[in-house]
Amino acid sequence: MTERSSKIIINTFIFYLLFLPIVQAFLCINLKIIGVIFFPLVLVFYSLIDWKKFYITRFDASLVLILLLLNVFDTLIYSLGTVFFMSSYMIIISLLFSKIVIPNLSIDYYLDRINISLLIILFFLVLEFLIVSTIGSSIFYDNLTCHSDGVQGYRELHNATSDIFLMEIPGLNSIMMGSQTSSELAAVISIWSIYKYKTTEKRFYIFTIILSLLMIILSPSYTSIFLLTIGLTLYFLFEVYSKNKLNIYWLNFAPIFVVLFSYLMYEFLLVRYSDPSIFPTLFQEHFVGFNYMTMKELLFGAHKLKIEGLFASSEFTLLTQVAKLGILGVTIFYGSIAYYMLLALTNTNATGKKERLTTIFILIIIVIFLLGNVHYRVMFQSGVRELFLLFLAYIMFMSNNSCKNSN
Amino acid sequence: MQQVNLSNILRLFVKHTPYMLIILISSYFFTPYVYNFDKVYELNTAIVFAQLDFESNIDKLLNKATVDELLSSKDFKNSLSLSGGKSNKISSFKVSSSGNQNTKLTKVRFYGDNIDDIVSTSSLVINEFRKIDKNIINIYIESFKREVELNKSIINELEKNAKNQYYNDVIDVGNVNIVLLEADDKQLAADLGARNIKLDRKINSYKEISYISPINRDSIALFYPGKLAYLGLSILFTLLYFFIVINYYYLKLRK
Repeated sequence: MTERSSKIIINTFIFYLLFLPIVQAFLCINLKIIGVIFFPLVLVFYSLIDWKKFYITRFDASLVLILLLLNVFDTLIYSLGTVFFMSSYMIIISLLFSKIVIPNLSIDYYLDRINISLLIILFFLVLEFLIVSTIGSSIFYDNLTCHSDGVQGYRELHNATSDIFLMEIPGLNSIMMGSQTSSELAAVISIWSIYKYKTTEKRFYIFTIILSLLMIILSPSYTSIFLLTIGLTLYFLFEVYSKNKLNIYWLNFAPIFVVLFSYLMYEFLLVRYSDPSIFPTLFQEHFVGFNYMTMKELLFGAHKLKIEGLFASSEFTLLTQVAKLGILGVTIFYGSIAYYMLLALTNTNATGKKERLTTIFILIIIVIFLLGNVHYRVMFQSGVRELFLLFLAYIMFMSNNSCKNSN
Repeated sequence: MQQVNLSNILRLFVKHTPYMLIILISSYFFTPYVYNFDKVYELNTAIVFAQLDFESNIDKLLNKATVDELLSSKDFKNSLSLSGGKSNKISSFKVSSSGNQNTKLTKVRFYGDNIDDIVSTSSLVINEFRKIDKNIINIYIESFKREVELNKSIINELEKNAKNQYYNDVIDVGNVNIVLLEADDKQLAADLGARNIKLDRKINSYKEISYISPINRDSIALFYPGKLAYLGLSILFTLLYFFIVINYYYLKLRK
């Protein structure tokens, strides 16, 4: 595979991820199948052409076979349908990107593409806010509202900031559509902008940091603030760890920060649930469904119709995912991602300072994506999922580099 | 950790393809004989509603809408568990989603892991429906029967009166010899006799709710594992074989 073809693929993929949600919402047709079929086919084709340059570790091969086994089991034997197809697609496409596309590109070019896609999302986020606050949101509702199954249309969202400042501006959707996507992506962009500022020291990225934080403030969500705090805390911990001399003075603030953070989170929780006594009931509602599942269903996942009747509350999508994919499916999916993350993290000791910083920031972003997915499935919906795959592909690439180094 | 290129993996795949094909084909044909767990049986049948000769009361009996609703209701299933006792487990059942447009019958599918449970559940279901129908129809049937009895007793009374007037002809006991009666009584006895015939027809016209064909163990078919599941299992075995081969290959490389 040539550098040119790799560039074409990566640019097409970015174009696809940026415009898929908006085109889907506008036409109100589920188009994700195009990308789900097209990109793997193209990448498999190129991998077969370049089969001598395509290196596979034992874990990669085993993982792909386990994914195939699970899909065969769910579809043909257990009659659950293609429940594990999307998870398999995510892992396989990331693997293919890390094995075929990234090695043929310069890392800077690849990271630059990610940067451009995030800046485009931020630009449209600001544009959406300007339109919504001046003209109104009817233009979006009229053209992008869609209630078709599997398509996320433009949604009318409640905006907590509007309540505080007595403005009448609804919550933002972003070009990725849906609730909380804009604020969670703004959290990702702010972390990415910090990384870009650290590596390039361009003032432009201070501007993007401020802009993305402003977007979180103007259209906030409890999850995005939580995720941003987690991201910043991880970055802070990395900074403390990477310093040769530990500054004890700053560490004194850690307990104060923890107390303040916990209090802030508690206050935010009270905004949503005014009565804390509801939590035990809420907790029970989330877990009680598992009591009615058989051991087989717990392991391999339950049928969609059964899940619908079992879980009264759907605040935590991860639990629904456990019910749908089973403990085995969820462990394989998240376990394999965690494995590549740990491998890439281990590899940071053997790479240069810039690569180390890039890997750490991308790992933080992946943690944000994964934690964001615990609450609502916004971070794994069409478009956002593909953005996540770009980060995951980089991590897989770095983990493979560690293998090459160790060899 | 060892890395090999795709060409090696593909060579390995090609090398093991004959073995994999043997595993695929042989497991597809042998699995049905050895597979002995997680079986699901099903019974596809239809419920034919109760029929009456007298149209005025037919709407009070169980109809398609009510039967469909009852079969989908959890309370109905609970009531079956209560009436079924502990001898058999209640198997699952549901109204068939396709081809269920006929208003004269309801297509129903029973399924479960035990044939006896399915047979007992199907009979419990139909008995429960019969009970519901009988609660409604018994009032009418009983009233018809009482009316027949009453008519008979009136006719007998008329015959007795005729005897008392000392007509010398022979009277058949249990039958009405109209010749012996006076003109008015003759007419009344004839009317009552005709009415009794009609009522008997009505009583006998009631056909209770039932399945379209009798249910027995032979009516139940194996639903799972079907051909698709056997195919899935054979692919699963083949992939497992290749999984072991690949891991062995990597282990050999390490040495």
